[in-house]
Amino acid sequence: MDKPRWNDVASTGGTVNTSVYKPNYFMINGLGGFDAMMDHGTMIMGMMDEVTLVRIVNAGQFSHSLHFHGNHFEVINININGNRQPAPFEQLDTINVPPMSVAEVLYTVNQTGEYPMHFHTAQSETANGVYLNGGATMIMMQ
Amino acid sequence: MKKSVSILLLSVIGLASSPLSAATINKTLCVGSLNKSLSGQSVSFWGYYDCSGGMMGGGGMGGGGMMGSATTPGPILEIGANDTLNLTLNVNMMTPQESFPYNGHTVHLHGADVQTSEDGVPETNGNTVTGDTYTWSPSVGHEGSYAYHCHVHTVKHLEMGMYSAVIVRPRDASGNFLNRLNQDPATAYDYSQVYVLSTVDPAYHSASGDSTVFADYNPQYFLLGGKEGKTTSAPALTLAAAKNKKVAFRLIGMHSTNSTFQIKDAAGNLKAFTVYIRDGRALPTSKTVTSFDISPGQKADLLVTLPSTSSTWYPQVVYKKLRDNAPYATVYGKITF
Repeated sequence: MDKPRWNDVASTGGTVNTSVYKPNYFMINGLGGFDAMMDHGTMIMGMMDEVTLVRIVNAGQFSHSLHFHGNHFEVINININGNRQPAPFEQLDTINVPPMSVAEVLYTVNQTGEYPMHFHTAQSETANGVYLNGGATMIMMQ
Repeated sequence: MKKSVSILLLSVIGLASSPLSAATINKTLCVGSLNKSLSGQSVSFWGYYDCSGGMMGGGGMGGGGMMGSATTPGPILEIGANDTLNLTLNVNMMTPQESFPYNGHTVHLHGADVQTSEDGVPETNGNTVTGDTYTWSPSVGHEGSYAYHCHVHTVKHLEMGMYSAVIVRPRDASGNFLNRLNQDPATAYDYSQVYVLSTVDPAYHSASGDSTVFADYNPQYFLLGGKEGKTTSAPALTLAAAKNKKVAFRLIGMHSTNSTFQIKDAAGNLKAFTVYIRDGRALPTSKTVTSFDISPGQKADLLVTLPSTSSTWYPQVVYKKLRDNAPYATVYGKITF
């Protein structure tokens, strides 16, 4: 598998060819899926009717499509520079956040259970091909 | 026999306890292998198919069951709001699958917000991957288009073709389906088309397990409803409609790239359409646009009104790169009226 590794090239003093971009690790808050799924600062955790504000910043170069299991969320901001959408908000289960974009959504606990939140795009569900990993965390509703 | 009696009883209780007519829909899916010829290349897929006849049930081996033929996308399911869907997945010795730990299959009702035990995710359901029944009763107000797909080793199984659509339709007081996107009379339509979007990287189809192949997605084929529609003269999906009528499009994003849906006439002029529902939830205000993005996992229900003079229009999806939205390919549909 021929994968340009920008970090490896840069660290050995080479010139990175930025026209070819094939990321093979995907993280949330600097954590790959297995770690982000257990990180209390990243997971959504709550009791019935509690609402979590989820701030999403895409600091990467790929569009990411975030799919939340368990419940829909309300979109209060998608790339409108900190302004809020007027209520009532659109409700989605999947939101696309383009590179260098931000979104804010409200996720309400409406049933008990445990559910994944994960990127819905092929390779970004893996860490260098290892599943279930990449851009993922857990939603714990009690 | 015992089983059908209890199902009947449940239906009666369902009718009695609800002011709206509701049905109980029992369906069984199996999984099979198939090959598609894409741009002249043969690519192997796994697809769901309806095997409600059962392997051991009324129809026996000859009544459907294991003898059915798999398709990608799988069967499009239609249910009513307030109905109860009992969707059984039959995994048997004939079922194509990967080896441990990615053996077996599930059905994830994508967007359905069901209980954890019905969600079809092996990592949260006790690794139930050898068959199960998934139950969902969508609420009135949650009409629209949803997806279903396998959630075992999703990076491969989704790519292999294990996906399709569930359409939740409004019913009238007598229990008949209304030709509307939801209960809102403004969403009435005359024709309906389901556009399942998907992309194909053939390397993912021959790899299995935790392979570095799955670290790099290079889609080669771009599909609508499982077909390549590379030109307006060879569209993936066609509809013979009529002047002045309304057509519903139901977009189901099972692809792994960015994409944009548009409708153009033969001269390339954009035609406006109105989006009423996203991910099974009515928009607070419907949006009339000439271009609409669908990202992986998203769904949308929209209407277009055909003009009073005969013509041919081309609904189309441009598949785009995740990094910079540079186009990969355009896939065409066709409406004549």
